[in-house]
Amino acid sequence: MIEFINVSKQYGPDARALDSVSFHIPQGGIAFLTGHSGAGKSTLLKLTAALEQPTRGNIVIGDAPLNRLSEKHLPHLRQRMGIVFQNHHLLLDRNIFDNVALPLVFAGYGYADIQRRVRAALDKVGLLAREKDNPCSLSGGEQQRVGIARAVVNRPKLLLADEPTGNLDPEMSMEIMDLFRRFNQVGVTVLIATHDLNLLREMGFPLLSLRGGKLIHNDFEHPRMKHPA
Amino acid sequence: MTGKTPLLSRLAYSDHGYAIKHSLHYLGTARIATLVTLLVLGISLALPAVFGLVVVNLKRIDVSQDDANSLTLYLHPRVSDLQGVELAGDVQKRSDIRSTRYISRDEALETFRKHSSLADATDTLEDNPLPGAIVAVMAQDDGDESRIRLLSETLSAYPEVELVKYDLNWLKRLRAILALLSRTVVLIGILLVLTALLVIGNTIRLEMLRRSDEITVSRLIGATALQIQRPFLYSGVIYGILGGVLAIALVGIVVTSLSGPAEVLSGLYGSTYKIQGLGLQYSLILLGSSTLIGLVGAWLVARWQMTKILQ
Repeated sequence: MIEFINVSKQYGPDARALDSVSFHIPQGGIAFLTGHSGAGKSTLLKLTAALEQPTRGNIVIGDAPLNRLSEKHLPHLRQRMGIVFQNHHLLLDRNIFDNVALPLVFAGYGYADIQRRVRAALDKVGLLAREKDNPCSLSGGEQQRVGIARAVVNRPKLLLADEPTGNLDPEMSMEIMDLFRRFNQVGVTVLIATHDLNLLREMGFPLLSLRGGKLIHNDFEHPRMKHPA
Repeated sequence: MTGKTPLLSRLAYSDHGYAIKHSLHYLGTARIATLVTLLVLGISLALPAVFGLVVVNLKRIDVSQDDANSLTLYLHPRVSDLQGVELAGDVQKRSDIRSTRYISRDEALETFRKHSSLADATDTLEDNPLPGAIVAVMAQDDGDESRIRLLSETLSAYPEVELVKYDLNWLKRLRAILALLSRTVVLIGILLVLTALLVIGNTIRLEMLRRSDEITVSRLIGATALQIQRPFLYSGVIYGILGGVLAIALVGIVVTSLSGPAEVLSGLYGSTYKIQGLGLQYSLILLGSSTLIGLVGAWLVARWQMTKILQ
């Protein structure tokens, strides 16, 4: 589902964020992406969401090689993935329903479908009763759950999360992780960037570890590396 | 299926409806900024419209140019009305004269009484001191002075004619002023349209900065570049429409407050001239142009901002 082949990303002559990274997370897989801040986690997620282009190497999402996609096709690609951010990125000028509805509006769904899907997504994160409220009125954990509802409302095949529990206490973090686990159980491929060691231990998902832009640990051995010719 | 959900909701969550809804919401939130922008816009669109109307109205005065393109032949006082009418007929037969009109001595006195503050003085006179006259409208109206001078000398040769007078200068001056004014209006118009574009562009730029969260999020969840720009294009169009309406209202106020004095003035010249306002046609043109200015201003800025975002 997510395949990196010798991917490097250079931001300047001396700023190498990723150095020849290769891995393959299969369809329906779930993984933690770990490493200290500055290790390249965010860069890796940005490349996966095609928000930035790699300096070298190829990335394949599903069956779409990103380097062959033009800027025109990227919105469609992003509509098929859900992204969860550390600071939830909710729009405070509209209510929770409208926040979650946004991806569906852009994807061109009719109102009946939008209503049904938004309520289903809010129900899954346990916030159905709050749909008319402003995101400001929610706690940090609840806001993050709205962010997750927005990420999954399009029923994506792939869910990316950048430090989704970065601002949450341990108990809430566990709730959020449990949500990700449940989405994974129904077939969604999930990649979660985190440096929360407790979570890593508790959840026991496969690991990808970055240090200084290099992949130093990979629980999904790249097939081409595993079976060298 | 669709009948179950209210039309308004369906519209509000369509691609365009959603953009319009949140643009309106934003304009409502940034009330003072919106108001200032609309005022600047309305004024900068109303000014060229007002100047334009001034020119249009002056040109309508110019329509009565037969008066200007004519010679007045003052007759000797001893010439009778019958002789005067006969002479007018003779003069009209000339190929360089289009038409003539004889003004009898009585008619001249009557007109003088009506329009002159010296009217009372005439009552003390025993005889009518005014001569009869023939107003001859020339066939050509090119304002060629040597031709007219020659014609006036020829007409002076009639024994009944005492004096030939013509005044082309005021017509020439009026035309020159009109030409200058028209040019000025066009130039001011261009400058003010540019002002309107800049105001809308800058307003949209600020709006994009304030709504940068929305732009970021929209991009991340799969909005196309057009979908990201759409709310801002609608903002521009909304500014354009409201600014246009405001401009029309301002012009209306100006025309209304000027029409009273203008009627008094034209009354003094014995005319029933009425100021011409925008009317439906010019109002629609003004509204259409301001809407277009709004869209273009927003589009230019949105496109420029988007290329910065997509880098």
